[in-house]
Amino acid sequence: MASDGLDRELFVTIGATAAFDELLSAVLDPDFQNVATELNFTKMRIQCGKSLEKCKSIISAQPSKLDFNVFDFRPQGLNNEMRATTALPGKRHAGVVITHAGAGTVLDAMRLGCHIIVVPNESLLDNHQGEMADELQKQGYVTKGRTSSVQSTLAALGSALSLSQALRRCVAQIPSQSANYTWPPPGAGNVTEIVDEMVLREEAMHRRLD
Amino acid sequence: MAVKFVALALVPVLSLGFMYSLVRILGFERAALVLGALAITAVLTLLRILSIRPDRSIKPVAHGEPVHFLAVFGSGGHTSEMMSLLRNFDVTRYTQRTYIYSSGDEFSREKVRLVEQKLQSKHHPDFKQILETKDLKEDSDEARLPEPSPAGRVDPITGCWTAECVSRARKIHQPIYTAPWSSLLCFIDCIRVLIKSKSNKPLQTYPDVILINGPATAVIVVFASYFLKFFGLAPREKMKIIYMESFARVRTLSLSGKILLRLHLCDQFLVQWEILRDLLRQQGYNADWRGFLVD
Repeated sequence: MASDGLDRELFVTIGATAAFDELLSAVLDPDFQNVATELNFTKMRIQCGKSLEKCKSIISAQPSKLDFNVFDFRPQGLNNEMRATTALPGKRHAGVVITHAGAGTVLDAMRLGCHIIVVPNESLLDNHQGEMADELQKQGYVTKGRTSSVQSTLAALGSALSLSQALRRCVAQIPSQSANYTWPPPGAGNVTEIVDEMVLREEAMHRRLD
Repeated sequence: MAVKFVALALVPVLSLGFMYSLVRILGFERAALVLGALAITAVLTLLRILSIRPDRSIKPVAHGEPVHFLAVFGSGGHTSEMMSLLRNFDVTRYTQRTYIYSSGDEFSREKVRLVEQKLQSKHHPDFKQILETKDLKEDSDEARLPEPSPAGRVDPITGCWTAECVSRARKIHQPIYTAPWSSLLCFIDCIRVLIKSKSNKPLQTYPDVILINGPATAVIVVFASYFLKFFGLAPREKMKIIYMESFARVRTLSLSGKILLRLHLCDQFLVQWEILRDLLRQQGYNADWRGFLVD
């Protein structure tokens, strides 16, 4: 995709409950920024929670071709930011959402049909977030990204590289994924039907089968 | 394993000791009377428990009749998922809707109202017009939905909803040794709410179904419903328990899920990941999987 003057947004969210500085420093790393520019990203929004000041100082200290917009929280939710990463013909290309592995945020992004990179927060104790990212990746809904929770320059570099690769993989999938990705998927369960099965006597069931 | 073995060995030792001391204190005849009474009580209790176990073949509602559901709103993530799980209910058929939320959880209180607003809007004459003017894609459009009928008032089409507040089962960071006490307060509150919901219009019955996901309060509601059935206050076919494990649980259950599954208290126990259903079946538990339930 050549640069055609259209926007392409990258939205990064770390969630409201825990700090996730590994993810923030990885996406603010010059190597990652270069890859993003190379993939025709023009804007980068970051929800960075309590690390807002830290993010701002990193951004102002280094040159970048990306147009930044950083904020701490949005009490009304992130739907508007996520929607800005979806394609709009003649205005913007499909972008990418990079999110922590909180189920609520991932579901919000899938509902809007975003292209998603899920990065589990390794420093949190419960590993069921990582399991969710693995399964969703296996089923083709998201790309899983990794950051290292080790505090060292080398680990930080590794995180930035691994996230760059995840971004390349995610962007490469966009044309095919757009075609067959709907959420909730067609075969998804319907709670009303399940309740009816449990609650209504046979006559009603027969009627539905007819 | 060793702990289990010791505990099992203690049971006959302690009961023999108990019987021996009873005989020494009361004399043989009176001790036999007491022990007999205890044994009969134990057997009757057991039979009663067996008779109110979940049974899918008994269903509370006849064809075409309206249904009363009760949904428990926990907190944060649980509440968001519950909102999504309730998104398809037809309020003209589920004409009585009772919601339970915990004290101090204003977030959930507000979300209950929002759920009602969305469900009722589908049957509101003005809403069709709103739909025609624009797709409900932007968040700001939610503000344009018509107001739901006030809680507790019976609407001829959409029936009636109430939101009931119960004392919190366990606060975040609450010391663990006070949890039994706060759970007991919550339990009493849940019983009160269930009994109250029976006299609410329009249906004036106990809930036909209780919809829950992970929060601790939900487990207490389930216990309360069995308490009412045990003492014959509520008919056994009412208050079917449908548990829906969180979308976030891929390979392991939440604590609430574990408790309810091990005690076999649910009429329907759903998980959202096929792999979790398979893992549970390997352990001998009958969980069900119907695809993703949240949107």
